[in-house]
Amino acid sequence: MADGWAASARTCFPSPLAACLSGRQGLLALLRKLKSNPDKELRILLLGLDNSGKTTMLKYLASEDISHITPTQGFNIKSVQSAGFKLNVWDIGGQRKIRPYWKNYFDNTDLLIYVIDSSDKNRLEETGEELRELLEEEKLAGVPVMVALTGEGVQDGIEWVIKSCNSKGKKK
Amino acid sequence: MGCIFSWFRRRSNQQQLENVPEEAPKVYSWDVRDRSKAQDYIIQNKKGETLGRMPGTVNGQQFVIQNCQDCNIYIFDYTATVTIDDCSNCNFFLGPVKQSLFIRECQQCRLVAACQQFRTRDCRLIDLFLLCDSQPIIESSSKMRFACFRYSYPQLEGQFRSSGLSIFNNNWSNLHDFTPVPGEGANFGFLPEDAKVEEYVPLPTTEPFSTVEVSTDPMQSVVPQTLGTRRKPFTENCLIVFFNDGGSHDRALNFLEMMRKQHPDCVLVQTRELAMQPDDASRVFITDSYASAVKQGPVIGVEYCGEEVVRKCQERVVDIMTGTTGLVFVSQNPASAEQQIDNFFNFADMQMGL
Repeated sequence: MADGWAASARTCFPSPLAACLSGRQGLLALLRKLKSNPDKELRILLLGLDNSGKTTMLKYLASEDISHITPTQGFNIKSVQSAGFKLNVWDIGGQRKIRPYWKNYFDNTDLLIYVIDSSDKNRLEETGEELRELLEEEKLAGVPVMVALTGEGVQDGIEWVIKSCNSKGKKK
Repeated sequence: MGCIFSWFRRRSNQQQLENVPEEAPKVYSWDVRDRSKAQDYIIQNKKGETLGRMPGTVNGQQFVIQNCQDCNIYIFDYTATVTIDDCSNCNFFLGPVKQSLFIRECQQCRLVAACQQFRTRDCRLIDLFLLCDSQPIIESSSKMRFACFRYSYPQLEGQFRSSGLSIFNNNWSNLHDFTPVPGEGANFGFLPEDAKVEEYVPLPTTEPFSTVEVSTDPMQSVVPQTLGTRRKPFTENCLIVFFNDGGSHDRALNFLEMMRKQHPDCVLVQTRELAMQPDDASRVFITDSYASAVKQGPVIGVEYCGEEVVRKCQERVVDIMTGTTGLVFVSQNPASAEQQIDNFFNFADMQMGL
């Protein structure tokens, strides 16, 4: 994750995804919109393919050292206090074999962050397919989704997301 | 691909996600990156060639290797991440990979590689000489065989430093398989202890790669050779921990070399380098004596196995410590060594998962 991470891009993404976010600031801006009750803990679910950078993002959100990350075998949870927010962040392993278990973590999710490694071009189709299935999940209906792009070539990732979204949007 | 766009439109109407306050345009790393350079860090669509990168030409960039057959590929530099896709019958050397090495849909390949994370999916018949900072994982992969990283050339030690990987923190034999097949035996095993690197990944014979002064002699390897989780040949074990005072790295290497020379019958089982808090030290060593020493920085722990290995290790530690002010822990006797080894390496495993 040499680039850190970013979620969509203001400059080139048309409304309605104008909530163009970058890094922690962007996430906080989004959370402010979501949070109605100041005492409420927000439950954030981190999903994405294996090796996309979910655990790195979890540690980043918790302001922890991200120089040593180990592949996640089950899941990691962290309670994060940041800028007046109480966040419960769930990071679930992304190997193909354990993706069927993602649905066990859907309940009471306030925000889904879907992590895509922009540099893993060979698996963009696969990650798109997984995201599509998530978006069709009944239990996640009404839950906002933030797509976070990691790795090198974030610009390419943004272009890919836009292209995928636009082409499907037109068909609909 | 489905309806991401329409989905966002629907949701954003409900949730009012937009209207983040305006601010000056930021310059992001992807705005300034020279995208044309990306081609320098890809090797793809090659057949029957020897190719790679020389020391100093990659400098920690991300590297992609895909769709190669019957090739020898030498990346004599450190990288950020490496993905290897759709390769068959290839041999690889990969210098230290700062983050993850991910191998997918490859078969009949042989590698020497060092990385922070090791992952495979949909692979068959891969032989590896590996250093891995975390627990290596495999998924939907079979007939995978592992051994300890063994390689050296003059620039390699510096490349390890640049990558942030420790030559002592090696979990090469501690595999996790996401997809074990019941009743079919393990998808992974170990290479024979006397396996010779050059019989798997041949030394480069064509320029410019042949000008790199490679040695595959286990005695010269930048990474200490460990037995790993293979069966131990002796029952007596010893734990030695080098506390950080700036000289502990060299001291540990000195110690390993003296053990090799004077007690070639003793076996180095495993090595780790990790940070400890004073509380951790009290729990692991069952005394407060080392609580302040661990504040100086990461410690190096090594486990030896051999006949009368506790006595031998104590003697060699005295040899290397004479005239220095550094601090080293050595097991007092074989009985306490068992508990100390369990405590130290269990702690190391737990830290790895955090």
